[in-house]
Amino acid sequence: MDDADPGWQASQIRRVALELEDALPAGQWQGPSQLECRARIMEIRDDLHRVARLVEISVREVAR
Amino acid sequence: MSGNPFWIHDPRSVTVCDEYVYALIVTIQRSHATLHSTWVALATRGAPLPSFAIPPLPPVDFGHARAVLRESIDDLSWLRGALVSFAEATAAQERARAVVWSEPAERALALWVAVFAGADTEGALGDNPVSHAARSATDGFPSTHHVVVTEEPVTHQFAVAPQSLGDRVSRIPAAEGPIRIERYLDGQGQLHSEVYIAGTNDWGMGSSPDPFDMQSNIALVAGLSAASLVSVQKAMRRSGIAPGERVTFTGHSQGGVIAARLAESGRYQTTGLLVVGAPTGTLTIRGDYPALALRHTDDVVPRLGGSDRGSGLTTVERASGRFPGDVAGAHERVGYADMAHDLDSSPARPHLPALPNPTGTAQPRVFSASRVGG
Repeated sequence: MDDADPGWQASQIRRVALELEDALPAGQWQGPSQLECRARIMEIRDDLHRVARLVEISVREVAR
Repeated sequence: MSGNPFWIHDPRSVTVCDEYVYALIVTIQRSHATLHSTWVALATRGAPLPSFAIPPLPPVDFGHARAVLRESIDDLSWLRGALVSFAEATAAQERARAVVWSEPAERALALWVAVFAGADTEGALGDNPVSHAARSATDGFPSTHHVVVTEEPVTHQFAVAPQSLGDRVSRIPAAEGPIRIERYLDGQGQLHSEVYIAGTNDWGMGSSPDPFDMQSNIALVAGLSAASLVSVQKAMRRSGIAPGERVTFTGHSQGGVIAARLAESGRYQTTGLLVVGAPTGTLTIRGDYPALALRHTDDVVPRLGGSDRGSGLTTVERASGRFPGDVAGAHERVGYADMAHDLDSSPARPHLPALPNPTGTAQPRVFSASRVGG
């Protein structure tokens, strides 16, 4: 593990994205609007994968 | 996902929510912390190096990535806020319901019992009316308890150390031998004991030799000593458990109150407390150990202990699934074992207080108890 390694940071971001997706219940829950919550989590998940990709591309571009 | 979700009452955050919302809140909190560290780390990665340092790579501009990451972090904050607000509002509703319904009912009961018993009525207006009512009813109860504990022959072989809530609740013994004790030796040569205590077996008021009766129940709720409590202490001594030793207590119903009393006694190094269907409302759990209570919402027995008073117990509730009015069924130990097994596979389980996972095997010892003499 290397905190200063952007590649490792990108993998952390991807891990969080997967954890958030896994934390979403499959069916009904007794809480605030489940549909909106699900949509928000999915948006955040997609954004996090995008951020991870941006970091990985930036690192590759510079290394080339 | 079943039709009967778990409801989790977390005393640390004063929230009440179902298991899925609970798991999501905890995951979001953890994710938020990780992403924030990443956001900071990416900023320092792009920062200029001192002039004498040789950079391993040319500086990278993560500005755009960080901006998108910041938006995601803000979205997560918003989402966490919405979920926590919901859980806090549910907790507030529950407190309001207790103020409007439960507390006046408890005071009325305490007053009635005090008048009936000829005791003072002031305590019924105090902050723990159920305990006062129980104390009013204990007039004439013995102050010392003479019990003998007998070790029962055990047919089952060595037990593997419990690794889950289901393992523990399944080991609460039947009423015939209400105390089960297992002692494990870990790799470092340290002893760890597991004590399992059954619930009320006799509904009499000290009229039978069985110490696990209604008289003991009332005495325990009143905060007094009880024949059943003394029986468990004796069985622990017979098993060789010394003061200061590491012990995890598990109990059902009256056994749960005994478990909580022993856990809080300060006599042992309590490593965990698990109570199921127990009227622990008059008790305050202050110890620094994982403490968990399981209750069926349709089980009346936990309500007999009154409203929770600043307890450190994390409480998990769900409906028993029994037919309405099946009071005995909703309180059964077997139903709580099913609940514990289901909770082990709930998404909320990793976020609940973690009871210890001892290692090795032990020969279980089971004890029965009976009153003797005066």
